[in-house]
Amino acid sequence: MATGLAAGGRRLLLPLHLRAAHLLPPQSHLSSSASAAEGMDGGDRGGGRVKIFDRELKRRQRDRAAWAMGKTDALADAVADNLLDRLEDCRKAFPSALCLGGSAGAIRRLLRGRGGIEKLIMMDMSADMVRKWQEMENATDDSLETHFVVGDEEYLPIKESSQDMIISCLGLHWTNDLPGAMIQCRLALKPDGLFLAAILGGETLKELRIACTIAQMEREGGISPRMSPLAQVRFVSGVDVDRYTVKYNSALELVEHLRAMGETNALFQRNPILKKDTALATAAIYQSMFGLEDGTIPATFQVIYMTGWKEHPSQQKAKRRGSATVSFSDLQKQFGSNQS
Amino acid sequence: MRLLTHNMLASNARGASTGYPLKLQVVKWTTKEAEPNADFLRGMLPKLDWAALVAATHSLGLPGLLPESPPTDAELSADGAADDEGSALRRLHRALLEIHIEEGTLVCPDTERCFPISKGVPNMLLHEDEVRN
Repeated sequence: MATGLAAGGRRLLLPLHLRAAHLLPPQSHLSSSASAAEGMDGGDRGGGRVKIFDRELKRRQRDRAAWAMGKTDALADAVADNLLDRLEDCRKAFPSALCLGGSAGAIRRLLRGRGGIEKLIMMDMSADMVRKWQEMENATDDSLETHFVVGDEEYLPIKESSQDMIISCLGLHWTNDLPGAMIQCRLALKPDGLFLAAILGGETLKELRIACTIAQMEREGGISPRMSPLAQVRFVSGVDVDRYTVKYNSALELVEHLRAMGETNALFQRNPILKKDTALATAAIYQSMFGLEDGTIPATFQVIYMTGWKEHPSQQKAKRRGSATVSFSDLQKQFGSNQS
Repeated sequence: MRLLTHNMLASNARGASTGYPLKLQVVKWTTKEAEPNADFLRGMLPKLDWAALVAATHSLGLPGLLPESPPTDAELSADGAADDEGSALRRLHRALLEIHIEEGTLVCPDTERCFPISKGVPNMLLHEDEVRN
């Protein structure tokens, strides 16, 4: 079922169902050297039963991140701001909004009244993360009604058609079934409701991916997946993609940052052992292949922005074929006479 | 957790047809006073499931707090409503925003699955075997 199409403006918004199709299923860049990559069958999105990510582990990682993360994170803030900017393009207000996982803290902090939100539900899998947001909330001083729920993005415990807007900033790339999660969001949205999300795309941390692969090949003679499969966006015009390059002093610093963001590996197929040799080799290869003149290393974060509107009778729809009352040749006659 | 949140939560467990509204079993709740915002309450009124809200107040042992049918917009915007403790506006404000449920349980009406509320935050996470296919 197609959702409303909002054309025009500097961003072209694709209907939700098309967008899910154009985001190709995650592809594993690293195949397992051991048994067949059953859990990694990125092509099977059908039943949504494929469990690529260990959500329980992700929850614990986010618990840890809640303690490790600083007050602000430059990357999360930049993405959150960019996402919230899209609200300035709409004249509509969204009194009731749901903010899902990821960098919801950044969204809350940077909201500044955009979107006319009056009531915000902040939801995450990790109770520690939710509690941290609660503490931050007590320290803020604005009149936004904020509510906190511990819940799973993949199984939204929200009443149907109850939200004006759902935002997810850098959270949904850890779902096992992204289209499924988006469908749940759609159900929870009221007609003419807005879905705004930012997820990490396929080019993210490509330098780390390459360095890991090479190091493992050299040291261990085989490779195991160290990085998530991420959504690929290919040749689709109009889907908003941004690339951020963050510089770190060393590969270690990069990993520390990922840990603090709760973005470390949660694949079921992960290898829990990382040999010291391999880790050192990864850092060295990263530095030699990608190191910049000043000794720092760059890391790419590709962010895919998604927007979707839940269908509503008031939204414009394409007219039925053959129902045109004016033909292009008429228009041409009219404008052709004005051409100089 | 306040009743405004309760009004929007539903159970997503397997076997639940709508999973709404969740039954409320309260162990500990408090009242925190807040300034009523008439515009906010009037805006929220049409979005609320009134029956679910009234049922929640009954669970808290406050059967007289809210009327069986929702107040009209006129009643909420009546002059002096904000100052009158007994006005429709103040009652709605109390029910939605001043009552904080600290400890308790939310129960799915279809499957009887219990979701705990701890330190004011409801935990709606499902176990592996409870998720819908």
